[in-house]
Order: sequence, then structure tokens, then C-alpha cells
Amino acid sequence: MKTPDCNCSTEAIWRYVDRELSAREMARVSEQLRKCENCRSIYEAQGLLARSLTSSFVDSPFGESFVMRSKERFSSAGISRPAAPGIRTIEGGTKLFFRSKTFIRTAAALLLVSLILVAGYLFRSPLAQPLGGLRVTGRDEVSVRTVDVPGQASQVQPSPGYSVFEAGRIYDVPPGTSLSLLLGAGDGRRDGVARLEVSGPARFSTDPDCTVENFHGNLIRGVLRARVRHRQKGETFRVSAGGLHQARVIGTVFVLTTDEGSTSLAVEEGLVSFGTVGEDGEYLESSRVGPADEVVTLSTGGGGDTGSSESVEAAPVTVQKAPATDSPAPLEPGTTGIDPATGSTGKPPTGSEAVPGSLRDQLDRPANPQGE
Amino acid sequence: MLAEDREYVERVLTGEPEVFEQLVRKYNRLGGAIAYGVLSDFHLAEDVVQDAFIRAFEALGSLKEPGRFRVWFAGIVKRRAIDVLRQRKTPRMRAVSLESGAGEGRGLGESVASDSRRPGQFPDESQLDAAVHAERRRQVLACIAGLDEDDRIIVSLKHMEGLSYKEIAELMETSVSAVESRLFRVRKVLRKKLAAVLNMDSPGS
Repeated sequence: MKTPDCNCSTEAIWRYVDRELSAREMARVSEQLRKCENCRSIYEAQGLLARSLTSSFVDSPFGESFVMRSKERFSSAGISRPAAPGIRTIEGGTKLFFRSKTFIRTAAALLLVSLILVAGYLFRSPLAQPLGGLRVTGRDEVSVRTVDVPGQASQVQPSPGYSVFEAGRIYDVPPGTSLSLLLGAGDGRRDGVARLEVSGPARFSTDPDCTVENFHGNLIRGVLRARVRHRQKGETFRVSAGGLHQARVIGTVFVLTTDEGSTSLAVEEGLVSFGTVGEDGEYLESSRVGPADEVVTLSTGGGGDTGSSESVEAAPVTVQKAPATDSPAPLEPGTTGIDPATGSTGKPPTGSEAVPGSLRDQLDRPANPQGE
Repeated sequence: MLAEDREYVERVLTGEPEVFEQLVRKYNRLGGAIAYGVLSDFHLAEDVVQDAFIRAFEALGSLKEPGRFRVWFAGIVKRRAIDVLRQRKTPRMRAVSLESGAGEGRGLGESVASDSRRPGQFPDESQLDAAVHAERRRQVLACIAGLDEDDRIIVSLKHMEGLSYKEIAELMETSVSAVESRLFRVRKVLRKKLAAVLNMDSPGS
């Protein structure tokens, strides 16, 4: 029988059945069910339906049995082995490569080790220092060039497995390819301290003297997306952009693209200080960029070599950005940063460049069209 | 959950591919609920989820936010399931008319009679109970199969995987209130269609 003060809400009772109410609301409905016969009959009918629906899935092939049944298929597809189809790697990386027990157990993997060791020997650089894991993702036909000396590129056929990410390298990333650089993964650390994705066409280099703690890379051209963990005091993470601009990254995730002397920055998380660097290495902040600012572009006008300080000083720096919503936080010492680089090949631009509105769209495109 | 997924993904990417099994263990039921919601077929759904895990493993490096593996993987499953559905080019399971006892073909009596037992032997009580429960499950699933695709997915996510409204909303890329009202409506429809089946358990029925 319905009590006079009861509105008998079926929705509220469903939320009760589904445990979607707060503790206080649960208690209130519970009391209502105790007092109102009509509510109780609704509750019992709903409970019966819910149990029937749930029990109808009892024969589903999912759960632990799925894991057991799938092992063979996953194993043949490369899951649980270091080398996965569609993941292509260049050079050595034996430390990580040998970490998997499954790999050691499979005879096929021994062949891959041989290939990787040979590639590592053939294409090693005297300047190279292992910094982290390097993976190359993309279509199967993609190849990646490593360049020890600019202009003297050596073609490396990608081999399955993991490799080290080295200092003193230049990586040419062809169109349709994406380099995923895991900094700090090759020195015994389980998780990389930074992850960089360079979308081709692009050229990216690492300084000969950079280390995991004081990383210095240079995006000569192309688009780079970085996720950087908070560094300890005294550690730095610097990525050059086109030889002209510098950004000090306070946050953790940012996207940088550079072309023809114009550098654009999009920040997904945190706060980034963005500016230029003179010949003496002095950093001049132009703006601070956060997630609300969309894409900010620094362009330098005037003639001359893009790498020279004269062209930087002579030309006005134009900043295009949306108004910042908050006043910037003070820059912390030892945070990440982006500074000027050597080896820029682009011509100096004139005036400000248009903001590349499709930057995020480009980065959102999956490197592997078959995957995601 | 997000931090754990992020750790799993990063460990796979940094040389511990065997860790991917943790993601398989954690999300195969979720994938199964989505694939079943699209296909209304457990065997096809299992194939789809296996495919989706392989694709996810291959493309893991392109995952921009490792902590969002669940949503990303759910999208892979759904797209793969829809592909399979299109490839089959056959009508989905028909809705069952419980009033007429038609639909999938076998009625309750037929199901019990065809239960596995030696010829000439009457079914005992436990066999009858099992047959009744199996038949009821079959009819409930047939009713779910007659719903719209999104409704089937929501019902699967709720009652197969036991997700909250909020979790379903995240996976379906809709609002919590939309999920809630949809679940209310769908279960009202199911309640009506399944009245005869559900009354089997009621005293005096």
C-alpha cells in the first residue's frame, strides 16, 4: 500500500538498485522502502529484472578464461614478446631487449637479437651515449635515417625490438612516420623521464654532451610533442626549436613545431615560458603559455642566417596568443626548457606567421593507421 | 585506475611487453560488453576483443594519454565490432515475441525436452531447473538483442561489466544524465517484454 507522503519514484529506486546514490540518499530510500509497500514492490520488480539481466551474461566467454584462451593468439601476435608487429626499432638496445623471459625462450627472437646487434655495430656513433629507448612507429615500409654528420645520412632498415636513444645523433623522420623517443628508459630506469614524439617530416637531433639529467635536443624542423616528468633541482630538459626560439617548460606536456624560422607552441598541461635566445645564450622570455592559450607562434623577421644572433636581435619577435587567464607562476629553477640550437636549415622568415590551427589535428592523427 | 593504466602502458612501451597481459586481464570484460552490445554474439565478440587487444598493442605508441587506455581501447573494440557486423551483412538477431513463443525458435518446453540426457530418461529436478534458467537467459539475451545498438551496449556495460553511470557515460562519450535516462527507459521496455519470463520465478506463477 502506498503511504500518503510517498511519491514512489521509480527513477530513485533504480538509482538505489544500481547503488548510484550517496550514503544519505541510500538511507532515505531504504527507509522509504520499509514504509511504503508500493515502493517495495517496485524495488522487488526492478531487482528481479536487474538480476535477470546480469545473470543472462553468465555464459559470456570473458574474464580469466578469456585471458587463458587468448594466450596462444596473443603470443603469435607478439604480445608478451619484446618485438611487436608494427613496432619498428633501429639499433641496439640489448639491455631492454633481453629483459623479457618470453623472448629468451623463443628461438625466433634469437634471430632478431642478431639483427639488432649487427645494426647497432654498423650504425654506432663514437659520440653516442645511451640515453633511453627509441621506438619507431609507422607503416611497415617506413625506414628511418640516422645521420652522424649532416649530409652523410646512412639508411637504417628498421628492426624489431628496442634500442637506445643516443646523444650526438640526428634523426630524419620521413613523412608518415612518427618517432617515439623514451628518454631515460635505457639506463635502468623502468619508466622514462620524458617521452618525445616527433612526427615526420621532421629532423631532430641530440647534442653530443647531453645526458638523461641534462637533456638537450634540437627540433630542426617538424613537429614535436613532449611529455616531461618533473625534474629534480639542477636537472634540465631542453629542446631547441629551429635555431631561433626557446621555451622553458614548467608544465609537462607540450607540442612544438618549427618551420622556416617560425616556431609554434601548444601546451596541453602546465605552463610554458616561451622566448628567444641570443648568441650569448641569454634567454629572453616573450610570453608564458598555458592550456587556455591555444597555439602561440614566435616568428622572427629580417635577413641573415637564422642561427646568428644578429638576425635574432635585429628582428622584432612577434607573439600571437590568446589572452592568458591567470598570471604566470614564477619560474622554478631546474625546470625544463627549450633553447636555440645548431644546425638550422630554414630561411629566416619575415614578419609573423599565421598560427597553424591544425597543429593539434596533426598530432591527434595516429602514427599507425591500422591501430588507432 | 588512470595511474595504474599509465604505469602499465609505459612499462609495455619501455621494454616489458608481458605487462600488457595486465591490461588484457583488466579490460577484456569491458571489451566483451561493448563487442557483445554491437554484435549480440559471444563468439564473434570474443574474436573482436582479441583482435582489438592485438591492434591496441601494435598501436600503443600512438596513445597520447596512457592513462586513458580504457577509453581508447573501448573505441578500438567498438570500431572493430562494427566492421565485423558490416562484413557479415546479415541481419542482427531478431527481437523475440515472447507472447507467441517464437523468436529464436525453441520454446521453453522444447528447450527442456532437448536437454542432454539419455533417451527414454525423464529429466530430474536439477536438470529441469538448469534448463529453465538456460532458457530464461536465452530469452533475456534475445530481448536485449532486439534493442538499438547503443541501448544494447549500455545494458551490457551495466549488467555484464557492472559499470557505474559515470563510467558508462565516459565510454559512450555522453552525459551521466543521458545514460541514466536511457537505462531507465530501456529497462522499462525490457521489463515489459520479459514480464512473462520474469514471472516464472514469482510465487504462484
